[in-house]
Amino acid sequence: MLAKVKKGQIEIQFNWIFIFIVGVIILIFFLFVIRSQTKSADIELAGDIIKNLDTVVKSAQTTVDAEKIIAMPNVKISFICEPDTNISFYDLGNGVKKDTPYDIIFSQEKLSGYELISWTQSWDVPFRIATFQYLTTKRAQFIIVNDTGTFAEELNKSLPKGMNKLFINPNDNIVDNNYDYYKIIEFDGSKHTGDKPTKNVHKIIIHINSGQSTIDSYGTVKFDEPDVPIINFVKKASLFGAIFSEDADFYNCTMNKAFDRFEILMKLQHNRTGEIKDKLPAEMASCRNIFIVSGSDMDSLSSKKLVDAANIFEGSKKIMRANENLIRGKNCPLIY
Amino acid sequence: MGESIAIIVIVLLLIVGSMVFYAKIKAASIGEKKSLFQELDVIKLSQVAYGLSEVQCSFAEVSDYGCIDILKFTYLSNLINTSSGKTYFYYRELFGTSKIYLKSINNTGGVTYYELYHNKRNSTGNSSTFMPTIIYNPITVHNTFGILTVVKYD
Repeated sequence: MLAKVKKGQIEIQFNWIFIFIVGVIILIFFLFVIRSQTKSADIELAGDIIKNLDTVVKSAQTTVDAEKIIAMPNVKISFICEPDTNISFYDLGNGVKKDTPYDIIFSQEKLSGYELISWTQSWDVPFRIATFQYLTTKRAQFIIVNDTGTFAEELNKSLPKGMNKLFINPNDNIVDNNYDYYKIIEFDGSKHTGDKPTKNVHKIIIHINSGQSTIDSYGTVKFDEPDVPIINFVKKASLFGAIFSEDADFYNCTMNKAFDRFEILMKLQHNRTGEIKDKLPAEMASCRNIFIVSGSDMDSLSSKKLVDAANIFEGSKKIMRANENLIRGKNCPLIY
Repeated sequence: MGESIAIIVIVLLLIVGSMVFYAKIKAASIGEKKSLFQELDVIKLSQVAYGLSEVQCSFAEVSDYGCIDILKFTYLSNLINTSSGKTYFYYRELFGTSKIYLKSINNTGGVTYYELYHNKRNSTGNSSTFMPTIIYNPITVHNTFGILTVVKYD
C-alpha cells in the first residue's frame, strides 16, 4: 500500500517535471519566433522605406532647380561614396541598402529627421550634362561667412530658402543650437573668427579664380581636413556639390560620376554637330566653320577631368559663344 | 500522463496550423508588395528615360521637356549598341532589363520605329509605360509626334 502511494507521488512529481520541461520548450520556441519576426519586420520596414525613398529621390531628380521636402520616417540614412572604388550607396542600417552608381547626389554622411530636403541644379558645361541633386535636413545648418566682395551674398541668394542657412559677418558668434551638422562656408580672405559650436563643425574655404566675377565660374575648394589637397570646381552646380558634401572624398567620388556623363555627352554632341555640319544645305554654308571649330572643341573637352577645370570652363565658354552667334541670326541649326 | 501527452499533441497541432496560416497570409502580402515594387520600377525607369539629357531637345541652355532630338536619340542608340566597354555597361546599369524605343508618327500616319536599348534576358513578364512626345529634327527643323515606350521586364 505504502509502495503504491509512493509510486503515485513519484508519478505526480514526474508529471509536473514533464509539464515544466515541455512548457519551457514551448516558451523558448515562441520567444525565438518573436525575435526572428521582429528582426525580419525591421528589415522589411527598412526595405519598404528604401524602395519608396528611391522612387521619390529619383522623381525629384527629373525637375531642375526644384526644392522639395520629402517626408520620411525618423530613420538615419547613411550616404557612402568611395572615390578609389567608385562604390556608392545609401543605407538605413539593418544591411538594407540602395546602390547609387549613377545618381549624382551630394550629401552629408548621415541624415536623420522626419524631412529630407532635396534640391536640384543643372550642371551646364555649356549644355546640360547632368542634374545634380543635393540632400540635407533641417538638422544641418549651413553658415555663410560674408566676404569683402559679392560672392558670399551671391551664394546666400542662390542656396534654397527652405534649407537651414545663416548669413553672418566674420566676427559674429555661431550659436550652438544642438544641430547634427554645422558647415561653415568661407571665401578666401574672410576667415570666421567668432565663437562656434564645439562639435559636428565642418568648414570649407572657397577660392574663385581671379578675373571671374561670379560663383558660376571655376576655382578651388579646401575642405577642413588634414592632408587633403585643394580640389577644383567648375560651374556653380559643382561648387554647391562641394558645399553639401560630407568631405573631399565624397565630393571627388560624386564628381567622378559627373565626369563619366560629361565624357558621354561631349562625344554625343560632337557626333551630332558633325552630322549637322555634313547635312547643312547650301544656303547655310557660312555656318559650317562654326560647327567644325565647336566639334573640335567638344572632342578635346571630352577627355578632360576635374583637374582641368580652367580648360573646361574656357572651352565651354567658346562653345557657348559659337552657339550664341548662331542664335543671333545666322539662321542655322544650333550646336545645342 | 496520457492526458498530458494528448494535450501537448493538440497544442502542437494548433501551433503548426497557425504557423501555416500565417505563412500563407505573409506569402500573399509579399506577392502584393512584389507587384507594387515592379510598378515603382517601371515608373522610375520611365522618368529616367523621359528626362535623359542625352536625348532631350534644347534651345541654348534651356531644355525642352516632352521633346526628343532625333539626332541625339539615334547617336545614343548607336553608342549603346556598338560600344562594348564602359559606355555599354553604364547604360546597362542605368536601364537594366528593359526595352526603350520611340515610335515616330508622321502626318500621313506612317510610323517609324527607333530602338534605343533592349536587354531582355530570361524574363517571364513585363510592364510598359507610354509617353507622348515631340520628335524634333534639327536638320530639317521639323517636329513630328511620337510615343516613347518603356518596357520593364520582370
